[in-house]
Amino acid sequence: MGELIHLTLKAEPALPVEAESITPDNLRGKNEEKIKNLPVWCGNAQEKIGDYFEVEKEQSAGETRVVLTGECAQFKRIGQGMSFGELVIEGAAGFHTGALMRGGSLQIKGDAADWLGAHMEGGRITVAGNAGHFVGAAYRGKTQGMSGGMILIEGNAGQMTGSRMRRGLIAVKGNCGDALGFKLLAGTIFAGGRTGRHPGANMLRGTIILGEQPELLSSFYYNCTYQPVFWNMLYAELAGCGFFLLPGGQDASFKRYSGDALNGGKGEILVWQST
Amino acid sequence: MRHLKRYSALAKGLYTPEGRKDRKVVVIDVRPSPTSKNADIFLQVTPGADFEIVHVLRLLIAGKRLEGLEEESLVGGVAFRQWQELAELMKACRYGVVMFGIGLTQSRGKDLNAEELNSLIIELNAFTRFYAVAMRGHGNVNGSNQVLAWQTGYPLAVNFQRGYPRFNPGEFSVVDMLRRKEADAALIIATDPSAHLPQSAVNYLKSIPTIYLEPHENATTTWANVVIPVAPAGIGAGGTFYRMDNIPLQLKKLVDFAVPSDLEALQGIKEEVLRLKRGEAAC
Repeated sequence: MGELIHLTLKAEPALPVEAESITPDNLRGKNEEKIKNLPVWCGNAQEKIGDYFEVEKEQSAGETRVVLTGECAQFKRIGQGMSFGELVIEGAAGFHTGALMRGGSLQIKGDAADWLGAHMEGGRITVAGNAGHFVGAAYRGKTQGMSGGMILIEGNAGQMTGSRMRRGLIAVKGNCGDALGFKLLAGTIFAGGRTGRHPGANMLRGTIILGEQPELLSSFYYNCTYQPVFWNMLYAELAGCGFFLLPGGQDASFKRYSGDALNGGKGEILVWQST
Repeated sequence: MRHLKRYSALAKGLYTPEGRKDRKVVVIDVRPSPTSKNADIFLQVTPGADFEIVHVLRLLIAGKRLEGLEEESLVGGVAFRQWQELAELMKACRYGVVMFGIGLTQSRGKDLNAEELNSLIIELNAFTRFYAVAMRGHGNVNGSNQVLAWQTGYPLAVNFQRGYPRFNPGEFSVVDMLRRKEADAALIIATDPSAHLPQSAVNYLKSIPTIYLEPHENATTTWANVVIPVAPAGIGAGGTFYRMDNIPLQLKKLVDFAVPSDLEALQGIKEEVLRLKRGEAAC
């Protein structure tokens, strides 16, 4: 027997609130009163979930589902480290949403802020709006960012999307900012729209798939134009989730560039060729 | 000019007895400056191309093929041939120092430009001895970085709200926090936000309570809610000053001022806050 937990925002706070306690792991098996008393931080003061949210809980079929209603752009770290269940944010989400996530599903119906899914290890994040900078990236001073899972963004993403990523998939249908996949270690990044300056700079391995021809650094060498086999599988897998990558569908061909030559040249940038 | 005379260009050393004649000075800037007039080579680059330039230099030093670049191709507004010559010069020198300032770190690419430059310096050390020295914009900016670093482990943008230090430029840095309106009060020490922050950040600062410790009258003293005049550090108060190359210098007090030093003012505020927290009446 599962649980359906509704958190309804009473009023948008003026100052940011750190709410890493809002995860299916933490809310499961607790009654409404206990959930209301879980801690959140505003400035240097420890407050309670009940100060900001109305809590309703009901039994349901399936696994634990947490639904947040309201614009939660001032709430940081929602879903941080979650490992199972479903977390739905019916509005915007703040910094570090889904950071260090290990499993389950996180859906954001509005825009997400910076550091979405940073250091994520597993699970799936879907964003209906735009995302901020450093999606799936590594925190400053760390050498490896996201190491598994999937981040699907319908809108645009900011700078350094997937920087220092180790494994997993990030797909952005819209545009991306500068330094997409900076120092990418492995994994796959897709950007359907325009990209900013120097995508893939210093990448070691991994795949960056771009919908529009970018201005590449001179350390990326053109190899060939071809139809990669894995593209069919990737396209079909994401189409199964309702996320369609490119209008060309499964039969798209790509220009392949290898690089970054300074870091071994084992990475690849694939640029979609319209037919 | 003083830097050129005392440290970087004209100073005589054990292996540079002729001073300036024994040195090669290359200036890379977006416009001619007094320093560029004293340079052997001046490369006037287009703004915002720092990352690409350093990346090309790294490729040249590593001896890699550069896709799509010929001798007369422009990289950052300068002919590729000149970057080839510079890369050879850097590899051939006996002791090289790259001095970089906020032109590199505050232009497009920001910290990545500095990271790329560090990679260049690391790779150059396979050929010769090379250093990078950050030239901070103002006096003792390095001091606050040094003290924060040895006290918390992080040099800037440190947040203590959870009782322990956390570091995240972009989240906890001044301009970003003010832009997102995340602060509801400000204590400003030893800087002039009106002169240095973007207008939108200054406008938000004006709308919240501000306490300002400052020895001089400036653009911020006109609007700060509370201005506490303090003795100028190094003249009216002693202390430690960190030079740009991380050398700590002891400064002695020269003259008596009728106002407290930064330290005394902060200690006074701290004691008063602790007293109020304990529920005692204010003095």
